[in-house]
Amino acid sequence: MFAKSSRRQLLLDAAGGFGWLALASMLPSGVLRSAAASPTASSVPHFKPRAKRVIQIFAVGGMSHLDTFDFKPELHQRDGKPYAMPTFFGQGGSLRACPWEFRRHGQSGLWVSSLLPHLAEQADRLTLLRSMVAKSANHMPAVAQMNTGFTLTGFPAMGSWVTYGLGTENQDLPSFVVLPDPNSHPWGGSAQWTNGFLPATVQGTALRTHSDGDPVPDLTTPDGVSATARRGAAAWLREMNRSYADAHPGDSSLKARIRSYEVAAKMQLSVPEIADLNLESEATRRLYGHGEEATQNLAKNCLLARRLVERGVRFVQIYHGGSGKSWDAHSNLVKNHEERAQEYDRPVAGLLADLQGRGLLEDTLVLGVTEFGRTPVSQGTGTGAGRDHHPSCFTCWMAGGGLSGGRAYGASDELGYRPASDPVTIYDLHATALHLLGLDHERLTFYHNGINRRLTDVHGHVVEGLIS
Amino acid sequence: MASPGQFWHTDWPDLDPNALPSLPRRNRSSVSRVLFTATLLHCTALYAAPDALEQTATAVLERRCIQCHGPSTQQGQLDLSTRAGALQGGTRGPALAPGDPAGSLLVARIAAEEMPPGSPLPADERQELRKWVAAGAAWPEPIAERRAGLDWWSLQPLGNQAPPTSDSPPPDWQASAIDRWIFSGLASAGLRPAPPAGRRDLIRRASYTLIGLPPEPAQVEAFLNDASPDAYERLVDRLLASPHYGERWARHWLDLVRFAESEGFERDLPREHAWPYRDYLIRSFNDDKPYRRFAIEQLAGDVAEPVTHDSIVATTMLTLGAVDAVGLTSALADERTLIREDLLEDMLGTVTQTFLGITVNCARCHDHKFDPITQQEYYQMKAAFQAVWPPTRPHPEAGLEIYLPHGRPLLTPTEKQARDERISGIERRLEQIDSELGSLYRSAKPRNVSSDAPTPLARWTFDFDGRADFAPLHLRFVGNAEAHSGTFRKIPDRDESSDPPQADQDVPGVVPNFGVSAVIEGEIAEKTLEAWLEVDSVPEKAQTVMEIRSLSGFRGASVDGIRFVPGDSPRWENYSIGRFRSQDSGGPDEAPKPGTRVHVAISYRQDGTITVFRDGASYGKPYLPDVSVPAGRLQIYRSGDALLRFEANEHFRISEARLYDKALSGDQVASSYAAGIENFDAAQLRERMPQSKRERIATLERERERLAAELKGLPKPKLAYAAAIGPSEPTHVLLRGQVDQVGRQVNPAGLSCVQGLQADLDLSSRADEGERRLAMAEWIAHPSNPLFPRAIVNRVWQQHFGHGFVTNPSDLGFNGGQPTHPELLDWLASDFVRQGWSLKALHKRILMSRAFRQSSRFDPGAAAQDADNRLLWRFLPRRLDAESVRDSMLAVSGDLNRAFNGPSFRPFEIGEARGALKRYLLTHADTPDRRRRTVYRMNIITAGDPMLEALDCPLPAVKTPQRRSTTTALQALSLMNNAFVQQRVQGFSARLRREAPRPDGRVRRAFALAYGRSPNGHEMAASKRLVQDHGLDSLCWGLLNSSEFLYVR
Repeated sequence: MFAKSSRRQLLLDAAGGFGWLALASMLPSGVLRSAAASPTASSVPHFKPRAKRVIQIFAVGGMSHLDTFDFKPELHQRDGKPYAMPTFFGQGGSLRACPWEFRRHGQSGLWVSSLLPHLAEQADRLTLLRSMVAKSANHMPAVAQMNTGFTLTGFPAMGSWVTYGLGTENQDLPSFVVLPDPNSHPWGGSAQWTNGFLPATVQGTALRTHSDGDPVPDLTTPDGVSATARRGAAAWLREMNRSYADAHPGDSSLKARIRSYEVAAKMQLSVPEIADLNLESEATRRLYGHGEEATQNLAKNCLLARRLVERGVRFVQIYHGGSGKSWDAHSNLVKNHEERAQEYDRPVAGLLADLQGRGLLEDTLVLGVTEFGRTPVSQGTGTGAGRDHHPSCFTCWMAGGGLSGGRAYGASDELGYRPASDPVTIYDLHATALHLLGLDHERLTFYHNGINRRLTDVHGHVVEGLIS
Repeated sequence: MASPGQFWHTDWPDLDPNALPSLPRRNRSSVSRVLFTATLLHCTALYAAPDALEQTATAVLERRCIQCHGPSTQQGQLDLSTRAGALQGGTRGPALAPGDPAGSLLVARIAAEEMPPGSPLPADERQELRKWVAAGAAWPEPIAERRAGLDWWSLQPLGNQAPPTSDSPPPDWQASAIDRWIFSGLASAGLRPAPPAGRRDLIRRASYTLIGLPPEPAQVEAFLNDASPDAYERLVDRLLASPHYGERWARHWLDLVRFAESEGFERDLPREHAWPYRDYLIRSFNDDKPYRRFAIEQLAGDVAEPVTHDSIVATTMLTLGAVDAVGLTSALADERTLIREDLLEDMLGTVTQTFLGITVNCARCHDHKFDPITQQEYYQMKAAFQAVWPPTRPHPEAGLEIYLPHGRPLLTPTEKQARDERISGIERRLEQIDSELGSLYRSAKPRNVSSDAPTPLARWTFDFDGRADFAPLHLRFVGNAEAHSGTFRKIPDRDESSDPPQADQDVPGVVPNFGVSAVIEGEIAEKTLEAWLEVDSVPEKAQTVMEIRSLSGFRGASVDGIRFVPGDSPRWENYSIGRFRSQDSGGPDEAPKPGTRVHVAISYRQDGTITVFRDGASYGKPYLPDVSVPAGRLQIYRSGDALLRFEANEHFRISEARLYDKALSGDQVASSYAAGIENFDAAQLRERMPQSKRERIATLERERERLAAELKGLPKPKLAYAAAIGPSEPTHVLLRGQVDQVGRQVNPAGLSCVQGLQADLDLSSRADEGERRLAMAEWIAHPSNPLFPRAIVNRVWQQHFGHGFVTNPSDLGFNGGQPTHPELLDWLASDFVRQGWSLKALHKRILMSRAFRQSSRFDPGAAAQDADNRLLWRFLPRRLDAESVRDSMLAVSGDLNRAFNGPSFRPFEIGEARGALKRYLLTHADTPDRRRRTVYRMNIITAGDPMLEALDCPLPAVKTPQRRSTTTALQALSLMNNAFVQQRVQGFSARLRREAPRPDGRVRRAFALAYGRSPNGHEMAASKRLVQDHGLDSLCWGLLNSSEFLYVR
């Protein structure tokens, strides 16, 4: 059947969201040659993968590296000393020490500040990237770059790329799921998880689990339509579609359409079940901080993420913060980061511990990202002072995915201003994450308007030192 | 026979999975090669044949080196395309020493990560190269450069080959040139066309192609029963004349030009004035506006005679890209420049891809990798559009550090001149009146503040206007600000949104309320700001009252001002943007009481010390701000770069404000406070005047009122989100595309690779912006520019057959590959030009062809050779696009609101802000405006419709030359359960109940409406059973979800 159909159509008809590469790898080799012959098809993934799936936790607004993961004693030495540097708001200030205490944690002795006590307990699972560099000092483009590799609108998100490359492991859930912060969407809104020019088979699906209504758009049968009536109509429809497909052999999408309705019917059952966190034990929910005011929202999303990846979802993206409340501490750094860190710390640490406990961490790559860091100089003065946007150096973290953990890669200079060694661009981060998933970032391409596009544009290197 | 891997490698080292051929082997060297060279970029020859070292190594060279060191570029005079070239080497000597990696410069420079510059090779590739050199550097044949030269097909003048005659097509395939070529293409692959389509299929097919709606059952019947030989031609003519034709084809165009009715980026604010462009498109298509004029209008309709409102609206095409309004105000100058360059790249990319099918934007950072376009040529083309901005401009004078979407007034040059003259006449007179009124009032008022008090640089008393005493720093009121009875205040009880600012200014749609002084001449270093405030209420948010600010620097502008900061410890504070230099002076908690007057002053001393005073006494302690800025601790405002700004708000009215160009001492502030202010309102002043003056004032006031009314009564021009022309600035090449690496200055010019057309635009050095852009427009749409007609003919063909002659319709360059039928494409392009650039004539030619009228019958034999139907052995069935699905549901249910034109309908509410981002909340109310065709839906970037998106409706910000057609579970869910579908199901069944009384008749009518046919016996029985058991809604739901409804064949 595949041999007769156009490859283009195969990619577009994957009702469950197969990626093309995954699809090609599933076909018998004889079929491959005529139907999907390509230099890449015989080896999917491109490399032996260490991770099969990703959970990305996005601290929106710009988490301060200097106050969380990147200890800078020099800032204490020079606290309050004037220091000239260009910033987004254009108002320099004085160097500012981290108001929280840094300590070594775990066997690895990784430095983590007292803002994140629970996450610090997971220190031996964390790989810190302390020399991240972003392109933009402006939220929306910077968030977009972390998501899509580009600072502009309309490029596919990493979750779409990964799904495009690897497809899904389940048939009754979307393969790229987004869990936005219930308070507000990130700057740029839903364009931050668009499939861009990739086919809609790999689109990100935002689950709405914090409010009434369908967690997935149009999931439930409308009010006033009885289950029996719908079943009767569906049977009639299946019959009609089947005879239409039979009358028009060779049009594979007609058969795919019949399948898509079957999968949709399964989703109607599986999605509410997944979203029901009452099915988790009390102890598990407590681990995430579920049920407590400060941690409730993120706990819910982190727990949900684990349930999703357990069921074969390929890529889950969790947002902490949005264009409303976020880590964007222009003023009152202390108040802002204490509140955000309290919301972030336990759910994220709980997720790592839970994944570990269930043996999932080994082949699940957890990415802790933010769009940029914050300046070593303060913005404003006194108790109300904050820190400005700082893309030229910040910290992201990884866990699981076959990484050993308990280490830091790259280092910032004495002020945390610029990388002192081994700078890691966002392209590099993407290339490395794809590599861990068994994908070559230079070979994961899609033609669009004149260019074979990549997640990494024309840049990016796998950070060998990080994964070895 | 080579192994598959080798085969792919040698012939197509890089294959896009989406464009793979399945043509017969014997054709691969010719047809499929040209069809599918589409995709030779980054992917991967080298993994294809792991056993063949030389293939891997030469593939690395080809992929990584040849672009700079190939036959055409030869940087460092090095050509690595042949072994001889590598042995000979370049300026640094031989590049290769076979068998000796250590002695090979090639290996050394790669190992040192000097090459390729900026992107060192991965370790495995380095290793391969080294091994290969060690093994002797076998080099079977020269490495071909994978790029287009000047001989690339699309750059050549249109060919004029006659249709082929040798393949002896059947008689009905001989009449049309289209059919002769299509038949010939099929014949040479050993294929035959499908038999003619049945009439039911044909009318449905033509109807969706031209108007995007299904035919009415009566139209289907009439067509079936029309025995006249021209029945089909009359059908085509009727559809082409339908006003729905413009709606259908405008939607295709909107995809190309990334039509977004919101700004995107951080806030995604709505663009209220973009819809006129959509209507312009619909009108243009319906009027069959000559395509050349259509293009020129969109590029330069504001200057291309005859300039009309419509032609100005057309330039909206240039401005539709997403606007990073926040980034444009960054204090980082490079970031602002980068964002502006991104905007221009988007503009130029849209222009060149849409009209020329060429990706000039790929040459922004370096020469085009695949097409013969230099980086300099990118900047030359950009130069013609350098001054084009979206009508989204900041208003720094009013202190707005924000860009907001607005509109450009639709005034032709003649209209603008007339309007400007009238306005300036009135304004001149108003100014005279104000000046005379000012002297009259002032003459009745004591001039000096008080003998003891210090003399300010300027003083505003707001007795009756915004005039200043002592210095000409008169205020202009912006938004709802006014001087009223001796105070400056916000005009109460006025709905701000209902009163947009004057349309012929670039002031955004929503303006805060200000009084803004004239620009201060003379430097201001030491200073004191002083204000007497009448407290009406206590603000909950920080409230600035009075400030001095620099004009330059956008977000980085310098500010010093008086501000009230509420909270746990309410304070009067010195305010600087971003709290820079702002500091709590330690004064007591402040609880201003409504109905009282507060006096606040802030002095700024030479050494940087800032002192806040309240009611004449020091408030807290003087402090030295803890900062270092370029200017030092004291902010110095340069002459001509600063003004005073007062914020009108409902909390504090200002009775008097003063600016001093020195830092007052505590004693001076105390005496100023003690002397107090003498507030007069206009009536009090008039009472002090003699009768004659009072009468004169009355006369002047009457005239003033009349003129103001006249000014207000002037009809406001309509607005469109069309090109706003900013100041003309020179264009420079940016080396590597880096905004801080400025190269030589360039002037507008076309592309020299286009054969048969001069790239030089023949512009005089004095040509203004309009002339330059118009010259570029005329070059793009030049009758001798072969890309221009080829690109549009290919697109029109694509929308009829599902794919174009070239499958990547916005890329006729190297990556777009070769056309399937190059001679036919050229014949149609020439014919299109001959027919006066008439799109309708082109449609008709295609629709009348036998190729279009073949059936969609599937032929396994043909499919085995040409699975994608590139040679057109049948009509390719396809799923309806998102808009057609939605529109068809409306049409079938009888709910379609056929209203044309006008503002877009909004299927959302705007939610309460929870941050910067607009919250568009989709709602499902079934109102008449939402029953309009989907082309009238407001295209907000973050307010996509889940159902339309599931049906492959693209993000509005993405240029989409070709829709995809996916089949997903989310799509099924939407079609099953979406509220819109449910509404149409109910409409459909209500219609059936209205139009057919009996069960059989209802089923028949339902099939006729949804499918254009009658049910067969089995279907009738099953459907009646369904209706009986589960109601008529169930049948309607099934029909609207069924493949036969969703597909056209």
